[in-house]
Amino acid sequence: MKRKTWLLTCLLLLLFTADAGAADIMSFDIFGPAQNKVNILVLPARGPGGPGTSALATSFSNQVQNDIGYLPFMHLAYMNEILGGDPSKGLKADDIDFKPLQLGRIDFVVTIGGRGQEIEARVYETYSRKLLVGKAYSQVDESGVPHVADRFCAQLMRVLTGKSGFFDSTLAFSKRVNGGKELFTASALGRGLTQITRDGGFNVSPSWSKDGGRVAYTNISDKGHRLGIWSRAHRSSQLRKFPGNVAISPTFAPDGRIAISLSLNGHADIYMLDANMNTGPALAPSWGISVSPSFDLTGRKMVFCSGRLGGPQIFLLNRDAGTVQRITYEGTYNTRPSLSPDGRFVVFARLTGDGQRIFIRDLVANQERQITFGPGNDEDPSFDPDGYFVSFASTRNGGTKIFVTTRYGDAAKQIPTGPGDAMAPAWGVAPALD
Amino acid sequence: MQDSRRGTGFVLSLVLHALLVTAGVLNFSFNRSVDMDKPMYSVDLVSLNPSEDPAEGETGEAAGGPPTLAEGQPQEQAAAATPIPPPPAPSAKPVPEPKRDDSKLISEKKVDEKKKPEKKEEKTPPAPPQPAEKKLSKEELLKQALQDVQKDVKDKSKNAKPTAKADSGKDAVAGELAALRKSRGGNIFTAGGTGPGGAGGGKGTGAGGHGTGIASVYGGIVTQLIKIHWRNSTFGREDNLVATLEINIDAQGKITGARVVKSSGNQIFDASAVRAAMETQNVPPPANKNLATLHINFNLQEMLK
Repeated sequence: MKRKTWLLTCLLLLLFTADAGAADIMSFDIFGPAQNKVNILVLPARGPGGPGTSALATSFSNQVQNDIGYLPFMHLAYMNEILGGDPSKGLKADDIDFKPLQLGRIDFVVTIGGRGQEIEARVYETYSRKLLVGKAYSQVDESGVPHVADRFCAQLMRVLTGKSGFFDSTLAFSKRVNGGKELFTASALGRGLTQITRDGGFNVSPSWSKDGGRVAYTNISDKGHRLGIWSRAHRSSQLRKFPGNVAISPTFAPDGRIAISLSLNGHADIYMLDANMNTGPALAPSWGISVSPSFDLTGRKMVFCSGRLGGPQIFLLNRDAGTVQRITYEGTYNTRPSLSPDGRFVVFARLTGDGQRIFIRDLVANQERQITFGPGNDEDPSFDPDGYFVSFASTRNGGTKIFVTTRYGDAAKQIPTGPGDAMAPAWGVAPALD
Repeated sequence: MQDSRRGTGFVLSLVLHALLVTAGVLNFSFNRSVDMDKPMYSVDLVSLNPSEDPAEGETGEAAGGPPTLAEGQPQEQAAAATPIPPPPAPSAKPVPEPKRDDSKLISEKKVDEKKKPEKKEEKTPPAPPQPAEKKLSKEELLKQALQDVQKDVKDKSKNAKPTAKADSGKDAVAGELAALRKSRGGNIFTAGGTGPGGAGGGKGTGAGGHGTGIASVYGGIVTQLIKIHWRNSTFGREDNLVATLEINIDAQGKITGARVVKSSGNQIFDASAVRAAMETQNVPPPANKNLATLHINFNLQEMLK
């Protein structure tokens, strides 16, 4: 009895002593990384005879590096940054010495191999050595390499960020043709450049439907303003005339209807068209003009440009409550708003002392910042389907060309659209034609 | 027989319960969680006071008694700055002379100005000082001067007005901080941790209550260093991921390990946090054992740049 009691007592004492002696572990927080770019390295493409022995793999490697250059959150590292040069003897993890990559602060490494018309590509995380992406493509010819590289990079972006809208979407834009303007489409990397309208006159202000099946635009000719709707399925467009002199900035709402600015009462107001193209009541009526509607993914929020308080400013319509809220207070000339799909950010063009510049406003944080800096004029901003990239037209390189930046104002990169001016870009979720 | 058994049982039961209650209370106090949100930085300066007895830090007396600074400090400084030889045999007659002049300043600067006491002695008219002056080495002079300073400070603290008290206290603290910075390369928490006061600091809030401040300063420095090495794309920030890492630091300040103790659910994000910790490689040496293991929450926060 006594022994048991003493044993129990000793055990209890030991338990509490051990617990009390345990060290307190302090806990701290880090909010947000200091570096917003990850380092990625593409190792030399390997063929059956070693590095550089497959032209197809080398071409694929070059395209992948070109694609990565469009992603502002990635820093493309080069082999000369790695101590000892190429640390790989093959394409798989076992064939790679990750130590020099870790020392070189490489976060992800890409291996590419080719044999005949086959390409295989892998992405590893250098610290854990885990395979993040592994893809094999067969029957690839030289002309198909850019497309395959885009698919591979889309997969890589999806794995890293959960989104791939940049590679999966299509831009529609207006381009000068024979003294007029027609609509063209191309991927965000400028691939598959295709002219989609041949209406004559000036086709401007394209807007994609949510499913990417149609493009609404304005045709301006000697017949006045007309609403044009291009169908992807039929590869053709139809033009429709409305009462009044003005029919501009048509925009697809998420439900498939079109909001358009019409001058039914002497000045331009925004109207929602039904399936039969009949107009309902004005969405945000006022005595001043209202143009350039843009919706979030729910369709409940609409930003637009209006001169109801004097100069053109950006306003937000809450379609549930019917309330209109002024968004911009700085500057006297704010136009062409585009609302991010989540309804949080508005990008717009502002006339500054140096020309037109693109600004972004965070509707939640109620903050505003400039994201393009010229030179020349930066106009017609448009959010991509992820609400991260922003395309815009700029005269910074001479003629008007299309550029892409991010909502954080990363360095803008020109999208190849061939010779001639290109402007008014609009993002659509559909893949590029052909 | 039965009665004696009952009695023993009763006593044992009583002892056992008493032990349980005591142990429970002690355990509660030792494991009291540290609220890092509380601004306790003002306590840090007090904790830097190197008290004579390391055990004082344990009992919390040193932390609780602020004005003991003046006494302990100069001795500590003298010990750190100069390898003082045994007490000088020669006559200590000239000592009272510099007492008047030096008593105004207690700071390190005054102590470093080794030539000054000599000059002042020269000024004094009486004959005897000169030969004695030559016999005294610089170190001896310094020590004597320090002793006088201590004496004077004592006298002042007793007699002087409250404002003078505050000034001398300030100077003393400034001097101590300067000495610590000098001896430890300007790293306040390092000095606090390795000095006698650091023993109490290591116990955190459990003993003395002045470890929390040092820990928060140290944690702040470590997190800043790791954050610099943290790379992650801003894309997809709305996910608001949080990964908790346990980071081990050896006595030299080398990061010896980092492991995910609470995953964000996103392996790539977790890996970026581990990479950041391991790439950092070295941080300032921890002040005590409790700081050798840190938990760091890596938050991916959505906000505009």
